[in-house]
Amino acid sequence: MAEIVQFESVTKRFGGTVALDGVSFSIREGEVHALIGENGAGKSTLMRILSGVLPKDSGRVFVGGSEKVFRSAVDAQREGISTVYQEPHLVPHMTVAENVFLGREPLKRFGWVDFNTLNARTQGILAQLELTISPTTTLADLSSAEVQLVQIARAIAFSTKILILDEPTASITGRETEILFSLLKKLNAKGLTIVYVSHRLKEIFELCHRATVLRDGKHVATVDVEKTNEREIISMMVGRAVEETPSVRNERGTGEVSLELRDVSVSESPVPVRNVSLNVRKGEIVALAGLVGSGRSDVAKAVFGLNRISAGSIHVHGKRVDIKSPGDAIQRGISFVPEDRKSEGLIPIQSIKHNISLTGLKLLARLGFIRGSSETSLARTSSAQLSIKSSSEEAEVSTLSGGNQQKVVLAKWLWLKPTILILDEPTRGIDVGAKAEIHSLITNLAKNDVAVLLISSELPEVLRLADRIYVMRDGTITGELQRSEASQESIMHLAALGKQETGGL
Amino acid sequence: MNEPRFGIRVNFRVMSMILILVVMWIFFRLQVGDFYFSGESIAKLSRDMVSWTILAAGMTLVIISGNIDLSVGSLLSVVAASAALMMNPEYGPGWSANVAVPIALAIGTSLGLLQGTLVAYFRIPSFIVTLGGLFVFRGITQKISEFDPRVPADNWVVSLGFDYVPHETGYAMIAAFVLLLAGVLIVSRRNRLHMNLPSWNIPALAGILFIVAALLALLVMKMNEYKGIPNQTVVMAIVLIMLHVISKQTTFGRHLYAIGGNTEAARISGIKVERKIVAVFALMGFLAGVAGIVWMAQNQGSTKNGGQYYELYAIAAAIIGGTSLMGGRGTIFGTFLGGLVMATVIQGMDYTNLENWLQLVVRGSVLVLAVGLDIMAKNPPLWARRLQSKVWKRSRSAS
Repeated sequence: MAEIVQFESVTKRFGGTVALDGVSFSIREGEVHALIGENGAGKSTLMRILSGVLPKDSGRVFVGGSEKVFRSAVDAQREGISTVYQEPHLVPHMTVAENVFLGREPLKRFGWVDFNTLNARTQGILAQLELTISPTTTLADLSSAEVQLVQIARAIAFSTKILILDEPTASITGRETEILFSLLKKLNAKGLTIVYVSHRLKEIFELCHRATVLRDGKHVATVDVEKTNEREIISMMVGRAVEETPSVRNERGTGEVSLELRDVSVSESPVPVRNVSLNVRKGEIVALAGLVGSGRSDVAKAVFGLNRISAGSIHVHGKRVDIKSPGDAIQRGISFVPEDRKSEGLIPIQSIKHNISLTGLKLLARLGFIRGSSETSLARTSSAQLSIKSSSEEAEVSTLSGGNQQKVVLAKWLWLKPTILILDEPTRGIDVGAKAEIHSLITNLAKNDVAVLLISSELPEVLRLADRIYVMRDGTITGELQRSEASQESIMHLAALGKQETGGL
Repeated sequence: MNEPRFGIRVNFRVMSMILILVVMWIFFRLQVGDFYFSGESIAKLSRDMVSWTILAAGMTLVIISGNIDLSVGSLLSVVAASAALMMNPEYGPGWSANVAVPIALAIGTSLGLLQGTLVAYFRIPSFIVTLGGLFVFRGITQKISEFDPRVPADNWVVSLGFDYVPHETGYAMIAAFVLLLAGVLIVSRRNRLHMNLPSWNIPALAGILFIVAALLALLVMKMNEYKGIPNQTVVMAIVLIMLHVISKQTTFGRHLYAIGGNTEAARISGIKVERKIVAVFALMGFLAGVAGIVWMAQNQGSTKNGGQYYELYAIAAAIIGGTSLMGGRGTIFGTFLGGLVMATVIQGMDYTNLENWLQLVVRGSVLVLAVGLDIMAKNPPLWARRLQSKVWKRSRSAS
């Protein structure tokens, strides 16, 4: 196979930090090439250089055999390079067709947009991808997985030779991932070269031919996926051999019930919740599994006072409580790590210190005046406990990597010493190292008698951590599994079909 | 990373504003002549900026919380007019200032409270609510101020607008302020170094204190050559110091920054967002009241059009001072400097007898220029970066 892209000692600095340090490797025409590494390894920077968004400092990039210098994303698109970013770069209030052709609409006379051609051509592209989305649907009405597919439609609509995907599965569920993968395989079979950036090793083994590992801005290795295994790749990513995280959770949590929901319904939430009953004991990790949109987060938000419950009751440490606001919940010893750290978890333009202290400023203040030294030592201790890597606790949170940002979110909730901890997707979009740290942190909290309610779309995470698992579908609980009877298959069965597997295989 | 020159990084916006101020002062001194640096000129500069700088300080907190208040100019005039009417014996009851001023301040505060309630609990954008307020309060002013009531000159409140601090008291106030500043800086430096945080090094600290002390002493000396520090200037100083402390040191201030930085995250962190919004608008109403009393004292009564466009001066001062319209960023000190920039431009142009229309053109241009320069320095758009690298290369290859 011919080499379609070649990187030759590509280097990029941001201020004092070296993001890419003499990276050289090549991508073959017609392959699915994985680009992996921990957060901050330089994957995204390299892809931004290839797609023309960032200029490189030195080194050379060859596309199709000749050296190319891209000044903008448009330059790269002209060479057939399209990118699908992790967060959708689309306009929610416009239709699918308008989004696919955004910025390159077919025109009639006098510059009027030719909507007939627009819709017809989009229909053609969608049909080619075997998607059943209507071109005239408003984007806001689609699920996040469908939006992802529309992004791909947009990316390949115009003679694309190389498709870059940056963490495309970060916000979609397992079944949607399968649809995405079969689409990618089809496109690849037609000759499209795909560069696939991801943390998820399973996906790489399923989809990719070759994989390039970056670490600290340096090229570690490019390997044939068939000739390697997960453990080898992880050790290349972190630079040392890693023991597979053992799933040693003893059956614990036989103590008192810390949190109990009895027939709770929430009608005002985006996904209405109906008759949810569950309980979490002291020292127990209970997972709330289910597909995205099954109402898991809505249950968590009801417990935390962000949604009012319309029926049923919530009991904390055996007492019936009426939680009207997050402030009420905090006072009752409940902490809540929300799903989306950027929009709900953090104040990105503020320092680590100010983010951590925000949840309990009153505890750090005398007569309304904040004691600066208490605040700083709090930030210090928390940063050390969670090994948050930063230049100082006064660094702006937006400058941190995803894993470190997530640790800041955890820190702001853990210093309150909660007795009940609700975690909504605590490891989404963070690297393997930080993920392992957060897993052991959660286990330790449970050992120290915290009742943990864990919401996660990652089944391996659920199976590794949880003592008990509730599965939700369409706003209601479809089953409860003990640790011993839980498997990926049994959870998926309840999550997708809503009934317990019956009989053997 | 190497040690910064002064022990900590100096804020670019503050430095550039001080530079702009100095350049303007030199420019106007050359244009106007000796009078420009006289005690009278300085006292009047400090006096004329009072009412809208107080508004600007409150506005800073409102903008930090992610809102805006367009009604403050009209709010100022409602308070001024109602206070004047209450004290006027001819058209009103002729109450003493001891009764009228508190009532007038309460009126300002409750109007702010009302607007805050509409913003927080009825979810009407603050831009809309306060744009409405701008018209409504102006209308009410025109009714209250129907006969443009005067305030009897024997009322103590009038001295707020016309009298000056005795010379010795002026020096004492400066001395007290400098000592306070020194104390605060030294204690905070010790605390920060104790926590291994970067702080001013000793020469920089001493330098700042020396410059501030010398400058203030010089200013008071000059103003004492005239009549002394205007009473209003003292009111402004007290308001600014209090708001500075509120914004930096209290939970309320921190909550405002958090709400403006990310409302959802603030709510989830247990902050009662709605209450804080109502509170910040009520505080703004109170401050508009204070500014209104000062304005009334200065004019010895009220007029139908008092305080017109002041909301725009206030917003301009806050924005020049580095407050972000997106919310979450801004300082009272920056706003003070922004107010000083605006005041210098306005007064300087008056002295140079620039025509009125041209004055407006210059005022507007200064606003856009000051903010534009800052953006160009911090986060230049792509074309500016390209231009810069081209110029850079050419000058390098030329040398």
